Amino acid sequence: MVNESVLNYNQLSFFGRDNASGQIHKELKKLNLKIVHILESMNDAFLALDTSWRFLYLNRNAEEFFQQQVEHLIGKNLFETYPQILNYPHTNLLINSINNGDSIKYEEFIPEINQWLEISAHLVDNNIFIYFNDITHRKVGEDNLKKSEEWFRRMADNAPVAIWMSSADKQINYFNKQWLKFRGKRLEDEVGEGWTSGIHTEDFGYAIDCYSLSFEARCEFQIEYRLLRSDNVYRWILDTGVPIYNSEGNFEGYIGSCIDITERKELEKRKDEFISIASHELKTPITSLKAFAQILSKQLGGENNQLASQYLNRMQVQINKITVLIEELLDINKIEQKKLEFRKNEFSIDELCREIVEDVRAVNPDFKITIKGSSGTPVYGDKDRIGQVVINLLNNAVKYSPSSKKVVLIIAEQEGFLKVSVKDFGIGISKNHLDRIFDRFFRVPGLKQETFPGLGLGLFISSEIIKRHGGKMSVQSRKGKGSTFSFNLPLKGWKKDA
Amino acid sequence: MPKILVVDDDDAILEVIKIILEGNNFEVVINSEPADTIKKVETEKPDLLLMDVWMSGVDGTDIARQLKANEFYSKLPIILISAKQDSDGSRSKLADDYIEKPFDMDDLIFRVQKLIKRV
Repeated sequence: MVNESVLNYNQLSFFGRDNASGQIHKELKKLNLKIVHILESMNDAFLALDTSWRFLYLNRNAEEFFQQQVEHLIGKNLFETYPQILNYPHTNLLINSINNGDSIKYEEFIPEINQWLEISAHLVDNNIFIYFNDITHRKVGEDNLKKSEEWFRRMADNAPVAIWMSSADKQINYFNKQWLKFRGKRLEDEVGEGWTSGIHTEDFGYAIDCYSLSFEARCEFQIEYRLLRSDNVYRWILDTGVPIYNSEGNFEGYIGSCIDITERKELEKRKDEFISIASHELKTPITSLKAFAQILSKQLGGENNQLASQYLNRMQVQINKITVLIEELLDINKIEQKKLEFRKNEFSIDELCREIVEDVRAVNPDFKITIKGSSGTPVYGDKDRIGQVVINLLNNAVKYSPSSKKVVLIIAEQEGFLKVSVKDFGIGISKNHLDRIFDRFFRVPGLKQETFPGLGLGLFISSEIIKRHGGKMSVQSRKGKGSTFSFNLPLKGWKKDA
Repeated sequence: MPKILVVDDDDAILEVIKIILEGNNFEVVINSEPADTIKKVETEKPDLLLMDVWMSGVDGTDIARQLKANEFYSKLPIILISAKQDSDGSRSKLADDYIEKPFDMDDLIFRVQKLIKRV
């Protein structure tokens, strides 16, 4: 809608001196009308003044602002009509710029109406054009942002952890006081890539890759690396980073916090060393215990002394259990230290399973353990470690089937994978425990009389071994009906190390 | 009768290996002072050396390395025994065989016989 009052052609004369006539006059009038339409419909308030700062024209938004109809202002001087404008901080600048023929744009707070205005002014053809609009909303937002940023800095600087922030371009642009104190550096030394000079050379590639990859995937990360402290000592740092998004959901960078985990690392190392030494020390007495039991059973056992041979067998079974427990502890230690190594060769899974089933049968003569199916394809992997998995599954099947006494081992090939399953008809596992069954130290909870001894490490180690061979472990079970534990190993591309 | 020198700092292990091997027609000399091993090899002239790796004050792999480098004893078959896995295969390369604790009696006899036959 057009401000009716401005349709008075005379008031529009500043758009073009009217000395034209006839058709041209008509066209000019049409053009002026178009311009007025634009000026009336825009969001900004607009006023046109002559070089003596007298009103020539103002649009409806400007009328609203001055609380005055256009016809009452035309011809009047801006500063005489509204002398308070002369008190605003930037008014002199405005006058000077216009007098110099320059354009100017600035923000001004108008105390009378408690509003922030963005004002731009231009001198065009002896006319002063001034646009202004209300930016109070934006200014308050900016102010709040500034305040909350100040809060954040104050909080971050007083936090006991080291904090950093990066922008969306991956560059770190902020480190809190704690970080700078730890590093003994100034902010300008550390921003961008400066801080990376403090990473231990052995950890550098890993830490940077981890940061970059997480950043590109916009996912949370935790990296452990050694960082040089101000006293030239490397300390282990746990650096946790999370992506940050603004209220519109746009990615804005990362914020991260770091803690010194050197002490924890040292304790962990000492614990690992202790477990390693203790386990190895235990093996020596077990070796002689086992050998003496074997000697005894050869000398005392046999037909003549059934009871002795029965007891000696029991002893050997128990000694073997201790051996397995020690091996499990050592394996866990190796997995944690990422030192679990494999010696891979080609071998026959059929033969391996046959040998193992025979051994397990010998120890559990009352169980009916059968093998179904076979695979003609040789497997490439660590035979002892894969054997360890098969033994673990068979022993579990026996252990958790106290009444059924029946176990089936199934070997099959399907879709490029070898699949070995061990099926029992024992106590089974309830649904809600199934997804945690491969976790470390996880044991199905139950009443005392229902539980079975063990550390709960076997399946964790087995799944780790299978994972490292490029395969996967799985379980199907029904409480009271029995369980089937399976692992598969890829048949194609065997020669490639997992 | 083939003579076997057994070196370990654990008396129970020495005793049990002695019983096992003697029961399988070997002459057994035991040595609980690992530091004297090379001297013992010189005086006893065994046909095979069975030695622990991790002994107090002495590393069995060092002794094995010294013997294999010695022109008189380089042919002496050595079996190393250890509680540790030979995960990188370096120990089996150094000696003629490697047995992990706790070993099976029959396995020990089998390995000793195999090496003695080769000699």
